[in-house]
Amino acid sequence: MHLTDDIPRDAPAAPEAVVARVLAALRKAEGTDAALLDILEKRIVRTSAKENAVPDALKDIEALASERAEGT
Amino acid sequence: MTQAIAIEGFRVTGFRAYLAGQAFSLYRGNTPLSLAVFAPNAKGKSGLVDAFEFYFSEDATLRRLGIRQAERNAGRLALEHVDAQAKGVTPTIEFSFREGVEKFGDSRAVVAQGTAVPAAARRVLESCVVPFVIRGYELRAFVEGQTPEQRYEEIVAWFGLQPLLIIQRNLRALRRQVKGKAESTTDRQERLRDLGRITGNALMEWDDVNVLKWLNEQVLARLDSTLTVATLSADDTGYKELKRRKVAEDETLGISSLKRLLRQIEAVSRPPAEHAGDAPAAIVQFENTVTHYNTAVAKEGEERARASQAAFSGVWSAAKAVLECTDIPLEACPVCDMEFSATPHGSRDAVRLNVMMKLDELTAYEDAEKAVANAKETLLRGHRALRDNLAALTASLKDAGYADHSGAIDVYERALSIWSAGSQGPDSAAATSQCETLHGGISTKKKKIEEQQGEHTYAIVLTSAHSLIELKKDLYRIERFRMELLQLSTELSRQAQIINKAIIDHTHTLVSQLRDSVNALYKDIQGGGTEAPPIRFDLPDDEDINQQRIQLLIDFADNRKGVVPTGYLSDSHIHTLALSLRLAAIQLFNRRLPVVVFDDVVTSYDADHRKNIAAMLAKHFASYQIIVVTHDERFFMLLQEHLPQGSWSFRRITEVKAEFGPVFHDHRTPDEVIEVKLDSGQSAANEIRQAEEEWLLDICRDLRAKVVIRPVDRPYKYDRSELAGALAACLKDAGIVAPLVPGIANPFSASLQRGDVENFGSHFSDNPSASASVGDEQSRWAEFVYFRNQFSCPGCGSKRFMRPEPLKHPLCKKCETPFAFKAKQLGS
Repeated sequence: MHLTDDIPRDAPAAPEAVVARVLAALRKAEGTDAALLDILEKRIVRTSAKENAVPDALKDIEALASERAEGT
Repeated sequence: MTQAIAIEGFRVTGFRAYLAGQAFSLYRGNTPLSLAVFAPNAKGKSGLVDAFEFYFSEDATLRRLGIRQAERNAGRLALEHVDAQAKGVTPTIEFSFREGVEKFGDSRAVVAQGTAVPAAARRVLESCVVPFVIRGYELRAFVEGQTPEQRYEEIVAWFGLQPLLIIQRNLRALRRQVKGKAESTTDRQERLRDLGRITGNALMEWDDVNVLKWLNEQVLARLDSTLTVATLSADDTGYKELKRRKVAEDETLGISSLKRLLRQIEAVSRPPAEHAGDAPAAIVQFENTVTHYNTAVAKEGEERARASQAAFSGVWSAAKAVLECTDIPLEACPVCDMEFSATPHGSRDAVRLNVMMKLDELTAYEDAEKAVANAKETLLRGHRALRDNLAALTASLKDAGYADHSGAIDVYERALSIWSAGSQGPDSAAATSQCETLHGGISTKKKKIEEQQGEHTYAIVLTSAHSLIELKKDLYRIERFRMELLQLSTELSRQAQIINKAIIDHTHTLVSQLRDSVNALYKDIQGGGTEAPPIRFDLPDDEDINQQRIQLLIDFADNRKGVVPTGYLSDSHIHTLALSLRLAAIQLFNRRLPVVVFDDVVTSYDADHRKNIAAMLAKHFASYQIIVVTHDERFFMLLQEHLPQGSWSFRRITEVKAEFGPVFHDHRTPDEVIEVKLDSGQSAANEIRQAEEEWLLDICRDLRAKVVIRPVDRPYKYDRSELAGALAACLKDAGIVAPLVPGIANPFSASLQRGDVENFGSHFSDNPSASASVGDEQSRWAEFVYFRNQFSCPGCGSKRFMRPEPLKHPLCKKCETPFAFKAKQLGS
């Protein structure tokens, strides 16, 4: 490469790409709890997680557990 | 495709040692240039690197200067040349860049209060992950001085891993919290405490059999040993029978009728202390609606009076439309047909305002009318409800034998029957008071009956049975929730592990790339075909509490693997490791900014290593724009030897002039500087002498004129006479006669050779005691320029010459035409 050349796109993968890849793989995998993965994707497994991501995710998981407990 | 950013040039003014502005071009045609600068210590070479650091700094300072603190940091004040203010120089750093065909750039002022990062610098920084200015004295900190946490922070920033590490941290926290919640027994314990309370601490753990046994044997058996509850459920036959017996018990004891009476009294007039949060009872509600209605009627009356001329509404509306339309010329009021000036309002605008006010009053009246209608409807509804409640209460009181205690209520009921809307409501004080008295008496009676029954009533037993049924439901619900949460916790751990692994794999891939580059660079710098000890970046295990660390380790020997470098590597090896690390990171992460600035990075090295570094730059950084400053002349020469001349510029700082700043070997005083001074009537003697010396040095170098080697402490400091003498000797030897300068004592070069004016920098005169004038300087300058212009190739006009061995006669450097003076050619 020379300074005046175009830059080849062999730069390290961006975090967004890593996240997207692993989420897609999990979604495809057999036996994955999709509802839980939805919560993780919405709250935690994102490159711009909010400050209260963990308490929000915990609330969502508790709500999911409650919903399932009511259904049994 | 994105294109790389290159530095087109920069200019340093009033900054550090640089008083006068000096521009550094880093492009030759369309080719970016690298720059190597040599200078002994304290000659201003690091000022160039400082200019880079300052321009890109967030805080508009240098790391080593910081923000000013008494006796600690020199702060930004140290950036400004000490004479800048006195000389009227504005300290500034300017940079220009190229990205493909686009050019951009701007300047940053050097001021004590600091300035924001310039837009161009910000744009460049966005393409830069790893700091590209490498200073020898700071380099080793990464290997030696940093803690694993600090190193982690730096590497994470290089890799842009922060978002992924936040994901890891959040996942870890979430897993811990979900697991903790799933394993928590707090809710269950709380409910078991209720079990203890219900059973008088006979039972502290839930067991269906034991609980039923307790209920049947310890509670129900005391009332009826034949009555048992088989299951703790509302559908259980025994439980249903228990409920039925409780109702019957209430009837027998008269509690049911007392409860009904209490409810009816509360519906009419509720004791405020007992039901503070409830809706008001019927009397209060009715009285509120009476007040509201009367207020609405009064308001409607006021508005009606104001809008007494409501019949004119249509006329006013039409008049308003006409008055507001300024296109319609009017002399008279459209309502009364009087001239505006004759109306009580006096003008068209005042009439318009009055009409608008009247119309507003009409609207308010209409609103008030609607409010009255609404209030009346609510009032009548309240009246009906109160009468219904009173009728039911008085009938029940009579049935229960309280007829003699309801006189005031009866009176109030009769008054209410003849009440009509618009009048005040009947006085309720006596009736309310009687309701309170009745409520108190009946409550006391009910309580007394209940107390007389003791602990063994169906009501109490039913309460216990009901509480146990609810408790059982709660415990089952808590357990089901806990089981679901446990399952989710397990699944969360599984998903988190997969996500973590992906992040760790990604990190390891990046670290491996970095490690491979580091090893390659390390090997080349150390040279001699020596295998570098494998370098490792060890990240903490997934379950490690402190994840934010990176250990930098080496495998020094088979029996010394994963050891800390400082304990095993020599000083130069550590320096090499640090340098390799930084360079590898720049190669890996600064793809869009292939630029490296080195400030004295070879201090720790011997000659062989310096040579290796020069070779390493040629091998690994040929496509980079590099700026190297060094005080090591040998290294400077090695760079010249190893790096391509076409894309490098090699410059030496020869001296530092107080009134100018660092002077480079190829520095030339521009003609414009002298001419501007002379044109404005200022003395330019020093500049003229400087220009003469510079030109003489160049022409002597081109013609290979012979001079005496200077003393070591003044290697470049030739006097004009010395150079002029050498030039004259060289020309004479070649048989070339110097041209005459018209109008003055000739030849011109003779005055230079004689050195008559050497000691009189401020003026030009053969007479040392003569005083100078700007006119003298102008003449001298014109003579010199004329003389200098004679050194021009007769073939192509080039002003550069050469005299290769063994020639005596110089040739044009460009077209190799033999040298001849222009004036002589013209036949003068």
